[in-house]
Amino acid sequence: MKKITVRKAGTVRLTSAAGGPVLA
Amino acid sequence: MDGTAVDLDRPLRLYPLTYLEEGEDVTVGRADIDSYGLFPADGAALLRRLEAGESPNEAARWYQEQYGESVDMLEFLEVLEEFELLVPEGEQVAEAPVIRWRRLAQAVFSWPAWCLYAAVTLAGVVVMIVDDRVTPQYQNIFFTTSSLVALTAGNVLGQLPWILLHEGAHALGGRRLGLNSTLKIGRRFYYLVFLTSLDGLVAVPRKKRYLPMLAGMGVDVVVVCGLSLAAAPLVGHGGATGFFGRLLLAMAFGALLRLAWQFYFFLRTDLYFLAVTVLGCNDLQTVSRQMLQNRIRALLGRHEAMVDPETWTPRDRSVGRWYMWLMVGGYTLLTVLAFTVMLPAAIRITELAVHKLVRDTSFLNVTDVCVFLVLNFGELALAGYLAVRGWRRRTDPGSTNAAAPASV
Repeated sequence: MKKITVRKAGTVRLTSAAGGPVLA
Repeated sequence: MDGTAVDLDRPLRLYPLTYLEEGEDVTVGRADIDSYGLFPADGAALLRRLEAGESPNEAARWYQEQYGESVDMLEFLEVLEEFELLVPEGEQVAEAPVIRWRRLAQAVFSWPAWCLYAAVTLAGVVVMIVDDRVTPQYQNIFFTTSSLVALTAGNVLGQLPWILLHEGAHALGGRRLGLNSTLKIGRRFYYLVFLTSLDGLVAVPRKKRYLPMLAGMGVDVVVVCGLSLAAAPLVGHGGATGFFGRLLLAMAFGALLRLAWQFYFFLRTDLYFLAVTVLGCNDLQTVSRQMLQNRIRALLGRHEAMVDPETWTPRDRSVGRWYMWLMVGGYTLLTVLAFTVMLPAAIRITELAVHKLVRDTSFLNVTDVCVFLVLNFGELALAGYLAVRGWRRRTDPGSTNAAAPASV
């Protein structure tokens, strides 16, 4: 009996990354 | 689901589904909840029969005639339930969610708009080459010497509008295609990041995915050029005019650093998703990490804990063989940088702040130093908090996220 294998699709997460000398 | 719970001679109700036939598999799923699976061609064809109103038994008979073998229909129905494609008994199908801002999205990516972006970029590049006062350089970050808080707030909070513009461009790129998106704060290794979830992109043809993916970096380029262009007539002046010009240049350099950060593709940046799309992969990062874990577990003799390679797509598996070493190299590089550059800098900054505190204990100075330290290290602390929270959720057996892949 044939088993149908279904894989989870990947996710898409598009990102952007979120004073020593003055002290001295 | 078992045989007693479902009448196999009665048609099933399915939610509205989207199908994308591209490559070997067919991507099928629900756009309203962003649940998508990669179905083999025969599985997608069988699903279409069910969707057309055939009962499971009728569809199974069709499968037998079509492919010359019987199909495990009960297991197939379990898969459909797992992906939440079946409408539960007694439930109504909700109306499709409205896609807001679609007209704005079409305007933002129209030809006149592209001409405007090109003009700003070209003029910005010219002014950066011709006028060395606005050439990007790290000294631009230090736009004031009057207050630590003003300096750090300018560099930390001054990026917020441009970050939201970057993420907004991704979102509008999705809306243009009729896809909803969500904005969250997350973590990539020790970086705090803003994330736009656009899972619906997996269900649109590949060539249409590039614009939403690259829109954010496009915004960064235009922002760097636009801010430099605006700063050019101001930086030569004294007083508030000169200060504003220097602030614009500081923000431009910050945006340039964020653009460079996108090249850390192993952190699953926008360029990673671009590469994954070009290479025809599905979930390369997860597969590469699991391949690495399998190697380590094999060395330790823990074969029972290994991930079944059958859960990976053939393309992910073949690219993962070399990508996993790039990933290891990338994380090693960032770890080395953390200990050799960031940690010494953090210690030095803290030392200097404490010295400043000791020299002058007035309320204003104490506030200045404290707010400065919070602005400087708050982001790192928040990334650490998200890491601990994620780890707890994954290791808590009662958690719904226990099986979720790690976010590194």
